[in-house]
Amino acid sequence: MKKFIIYLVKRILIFGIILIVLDFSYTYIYVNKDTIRTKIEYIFQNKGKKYDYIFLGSSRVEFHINTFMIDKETGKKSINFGISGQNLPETFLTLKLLKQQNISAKKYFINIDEADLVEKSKKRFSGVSYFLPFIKNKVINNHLKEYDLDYFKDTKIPFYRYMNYGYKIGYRELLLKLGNKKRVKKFYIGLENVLKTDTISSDFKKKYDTELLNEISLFAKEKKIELIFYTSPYYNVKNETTFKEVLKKENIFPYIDSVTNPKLFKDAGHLNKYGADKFTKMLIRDFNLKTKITTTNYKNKKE
Amino acid sequence: MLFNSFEFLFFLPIVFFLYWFVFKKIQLQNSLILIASYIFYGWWDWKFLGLIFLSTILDYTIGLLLRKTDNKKKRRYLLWCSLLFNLGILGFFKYYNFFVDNWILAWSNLGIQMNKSSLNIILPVGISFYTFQTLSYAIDVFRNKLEPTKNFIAFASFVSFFPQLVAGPIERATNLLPQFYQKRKFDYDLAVSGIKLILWGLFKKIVIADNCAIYVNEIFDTYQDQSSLTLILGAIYFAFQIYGDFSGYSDIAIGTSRLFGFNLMRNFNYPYFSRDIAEFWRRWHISLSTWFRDYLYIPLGGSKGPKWKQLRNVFIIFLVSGFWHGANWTFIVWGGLNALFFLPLLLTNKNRIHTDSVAKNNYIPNIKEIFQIFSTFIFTTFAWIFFRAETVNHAWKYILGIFNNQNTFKIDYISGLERFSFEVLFLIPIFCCFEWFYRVNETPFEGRFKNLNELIIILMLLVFGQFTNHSSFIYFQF
Repeated sequence: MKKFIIYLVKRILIFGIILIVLDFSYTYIYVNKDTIRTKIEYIFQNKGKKYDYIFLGSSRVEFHINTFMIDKETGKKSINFGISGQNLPETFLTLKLLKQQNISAKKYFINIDEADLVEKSKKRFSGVSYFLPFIKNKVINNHLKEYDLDYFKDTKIPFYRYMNYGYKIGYRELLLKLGNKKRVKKFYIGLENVLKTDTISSDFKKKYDTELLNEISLFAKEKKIELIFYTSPYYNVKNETTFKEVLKKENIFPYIDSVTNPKLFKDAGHLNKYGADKFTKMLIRDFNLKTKITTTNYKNKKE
Repeated sequence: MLFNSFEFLFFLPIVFFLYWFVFKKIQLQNSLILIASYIFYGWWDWKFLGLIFLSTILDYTIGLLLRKTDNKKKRRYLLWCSLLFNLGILGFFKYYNFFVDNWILAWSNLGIQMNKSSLNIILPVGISFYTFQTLSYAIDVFRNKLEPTKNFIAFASFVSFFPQLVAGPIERATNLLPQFYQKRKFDYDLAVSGIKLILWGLFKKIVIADNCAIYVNEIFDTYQDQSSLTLILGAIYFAFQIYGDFSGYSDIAIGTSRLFGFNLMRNFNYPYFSRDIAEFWRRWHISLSTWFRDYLYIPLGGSKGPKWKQLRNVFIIFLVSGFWHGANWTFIVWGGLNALFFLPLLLTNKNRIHTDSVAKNNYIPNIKEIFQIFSTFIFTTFAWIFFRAETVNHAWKYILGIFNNQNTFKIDYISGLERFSFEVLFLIPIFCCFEWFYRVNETPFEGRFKNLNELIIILMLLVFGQFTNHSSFIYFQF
């Protein structure tokens, strides 16, 4: 048995050393290689940049907000920081990180998904992966400590983050980074596909919790950031009354049913590129992005 | 509980420690195995523990009653009780809805409409495995091949032995049960070989099977949109997915058993290097093939008697084997196809010509062997399409797509996944090389370069392993 335990200890040690070496190598490449693959890397490599409009949120920002169109039609400078799979805690972290890196905008638009406000959604990290190579950063580390349920595993076990989030920051992403394969600058992705069936729907029935939303508002107030919350369109919304009440109460601009044509959707929660163009035009018009930045136009119109 | 889960990472060392350091007496060790096995199974759904317990009690009692009587009629009656109960619960949980649906469909084809009365039945994990294991006990006792046990704890541990409870290997009572009576001494070599098997099994599951699964799922779901070559690749990926998944599970199960001093039967023996279908079936899911051979094929007459009887027996064995996998026509067609592939070998009496290892003592096979291996793989992979498809129609359309879809020689960008499947095209050949060069061993961690191989496999496991997108073991559903 003693011999076996020695055998096991040796293996565990080798295993541990490999984990540490891999973790170090991955992190070194992600932090030091200057090819920008993710929006978080972009933030770290573009300190002090100024924009007119910054859009934050999930895939429903990444695929919905055509920043090329905004820039072309308004003559202003905008950037899409929407990240697929990201929830409100990660959006909040992106906002904090922008502030830390001194990247600013005259207006910040944050898309609030229905899922973001579902009760007990505060401690929920599903799109945290892109931040994880940078856990040494204080803002990121402190935020994860507060909001990441897997904080210990994500930050203390060597290489765990790259194994657990292999789909996003695993060897594929690493090889693409090493191969200098860049992504588009403005980070907007227009989806090609068209909704195949019009029988699907977005069913809202849940109870909502706005605690995190209030924390973001408080942060913005403290840092003198002008935030606009809005909710992107969903296809065929059902049982949306409670959600709409929450939107109204929290001053979130409710675009949930502003697009109805199935040809403009990719699926129930995502517009395709044609839908994205239509929606972006709505934002340009409603928030008067061409001229002076204000939210009153939209409010007046609704009233 | 899954072998590739965090829970098992803690569960196994705890049970191992208690087993060798705290409970040193055989009865206590068996009791610990029993408790650990029930926890292992109950982790998935404790409500179905009752079924295992019921099956255990029944076959234990039947064993004792068979011991008491020499009356043939009574013995036969007792065996029928075991068969009816075990196959009854299997039939109810696994096949009830299939029979009801097909019954209604058959009548509706004749113009008679019947009310659908399918039930929402949850299939207990591993039910096909443990019912076959307990059946082997009752049958062997009935045949006087095995002395019935009085030791309930040993018997209950044999039925529920956690390493192989949910996906085999389906152990014969004659092999496993006596091991529960023997005093166990820690065997260093056995334990080390167990660790190596676990590592190799994890590699097969997490690196090969789970990476293939990502593309297989997408390609089979969107087969209409994929090119011919992508569809062919999808079928090949599935061949490696199911092999990596199931043989990986078996390796982990056998390896885990060795840590506790138990020897389980080998379940896979490099099946994709088979030179014909008969050899493939001697190397694939050996515990099930031999179970059917011993308890169905031979009682039916086996390879004795006139040719038509032999053919009948072969078809029965393959169709039943297909049906064992699931209540779907796809599995029956899969079984039927394998029987068809087997047929020419049986008719020409060539079904037992390849009983040794391919290219023995050679590094590479000769042209004839390459052709044989390649053609057997094509036949097997073709049949796997039915195994993987949702319905026979789905499989058929998939096959038609291989011939009819556009862009024949283009590997598709899988839009649903936003990527190409290049890493699988790189991983599969590496896996095949390891298997080929170490095919006379259990794992690549024996013989030349064993330490280097271990290091490479650990590295590949960590870098290429699917730790979050991993799918449950396919054979759990059977």
